[in-house]
Amino acid sequence: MGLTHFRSRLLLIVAALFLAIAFLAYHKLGEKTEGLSEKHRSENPLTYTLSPKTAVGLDAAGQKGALPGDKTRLSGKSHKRAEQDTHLAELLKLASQSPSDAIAEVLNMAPGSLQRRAMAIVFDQWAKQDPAAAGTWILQNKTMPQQLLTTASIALAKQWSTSAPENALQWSGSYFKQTDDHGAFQNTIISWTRQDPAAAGQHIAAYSYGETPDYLATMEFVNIYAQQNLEAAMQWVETNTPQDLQPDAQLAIIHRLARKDPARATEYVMRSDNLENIESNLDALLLQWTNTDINAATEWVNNSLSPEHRDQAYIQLAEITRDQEPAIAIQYAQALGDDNYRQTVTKDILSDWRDQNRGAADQWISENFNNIDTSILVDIGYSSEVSTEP
Amino acid sequence: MVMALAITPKTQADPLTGFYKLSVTTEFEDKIGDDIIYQDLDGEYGSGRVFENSNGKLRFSGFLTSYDDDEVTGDVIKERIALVGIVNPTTGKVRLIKIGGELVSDWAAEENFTLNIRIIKRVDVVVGLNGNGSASWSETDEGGVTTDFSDTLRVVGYKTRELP
Repeated sequence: MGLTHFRSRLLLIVAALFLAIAFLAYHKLGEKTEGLSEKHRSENPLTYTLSPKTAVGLDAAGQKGALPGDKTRLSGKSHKRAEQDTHLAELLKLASQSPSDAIAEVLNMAPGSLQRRAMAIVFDQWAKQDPAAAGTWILQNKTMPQQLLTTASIALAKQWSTSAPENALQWSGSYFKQTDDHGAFQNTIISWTRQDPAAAGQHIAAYSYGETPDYLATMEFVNIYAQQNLEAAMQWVETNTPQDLQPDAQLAIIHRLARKDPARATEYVMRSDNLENIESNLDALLLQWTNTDINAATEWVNNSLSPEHRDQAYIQLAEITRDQEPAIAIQYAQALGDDNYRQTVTKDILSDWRDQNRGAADQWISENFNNIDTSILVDIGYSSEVSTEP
Repeated sequence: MVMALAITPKTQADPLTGFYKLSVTTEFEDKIGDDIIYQDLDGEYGSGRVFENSNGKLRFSGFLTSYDDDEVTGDVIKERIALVGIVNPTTGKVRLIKIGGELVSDWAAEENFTLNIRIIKRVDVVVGLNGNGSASWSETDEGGVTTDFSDTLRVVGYKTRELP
């Protein structure tokens, strides 16, 4: 009994000693691991010095950078890419201290995607600090290569629109007028609409930047707003779109609606207020709808439209199908109620088909000879060729 | 009066409005350094319509048909890529705003993409539609090899008929 008690005590002492050794060893190992980690940081500054937030900032400038927090991708990337990223990180630092020096460095880089990435980073950074100065610099340096100019202006406009969208839009409108480059203006509208559609919509309805910018602004606003809130976008088009842009705004709604809900798109096209634009609206509706369900689209055309509108729809359906399925396109053409259109469209498609694939076209004609007006066959040269054949 | 009649053109000016057929040819070239590692030529057919909307503005609406192979089934997938733009009535320049729902300006910034299309008129007759463009970008793989990609685009088209 006494011996057993002694053994138990001895075991307890040995176990305690073992635990103490293990505890000390664990701490020692921890110190080593920390040391390794610090050493690694200095070797790869980008991985550790760029916070996820900064990385998001780089991506917001439209760049294809590493995903924030994606350490697997960061640690696995190539040495060359790491070098490039280090250079860009240094450039970002320089841009925050002296944008003009950073731009000078970018302009000295070899032309290519890295140079454009660098330009975007510099202007994204400058736009955070002093967007007006960045905008002035761009307008004073319009002679630099077009791609760099476009890249710089889009990066500036995107960033500026997050802090002062009205100013960004005014600047990008002015830039558009001076350069005929619409990218910055378009991106400002999109960015502003995503942030605050109510304010963007109010501004677009109240201010004019000229014919083409107003078109762009309306189209992009409606397009983005319709993705967020289709009902509100439709309401905006009805009540706020300037009269001369109503047809374009309706098209933007239909492009969106026809992909999502063709049945509702048809209702929108057929609304009495919208009938003035039915030709272009049908065009947009059928272009989208036939991508997903050409049979349903054709059925709707056959059963729901007046003869005049049906003809417009058939013409569009014939255009959509003429290259890939000319036989079907001719069926649409032959369904046209207007004699003149029927002749013209059928002749146009058949003539084209014969140019592309005479054998198939002539085979089809021979099988449908009695259904085609003889004058069409004469016009496309079919009859004369057949009659002169031995 | 006689003079005025003498200089009156015999035919009415051909309007820009109408149906157009167009084809886009793309030359792909992928290079590593100076070595061309891939070269191919691809083409897409399409059609478009230049029309005057209810407010008298010239607009372009069209599509390109693109073919792709389904990676799983191997089936050919056909998709119509919508083209949306506006037309300058004086110069005939077609400003494409979107291609397949994507902003042309985004491509410009990311892939150096440009595409200029113009309807050509000679002596007041529409003789065709011409365009050219390009895109270029680089990608570096995990092994540190950088590939430069460049696409050269050519657009050719003609007016097929007037609008109804």
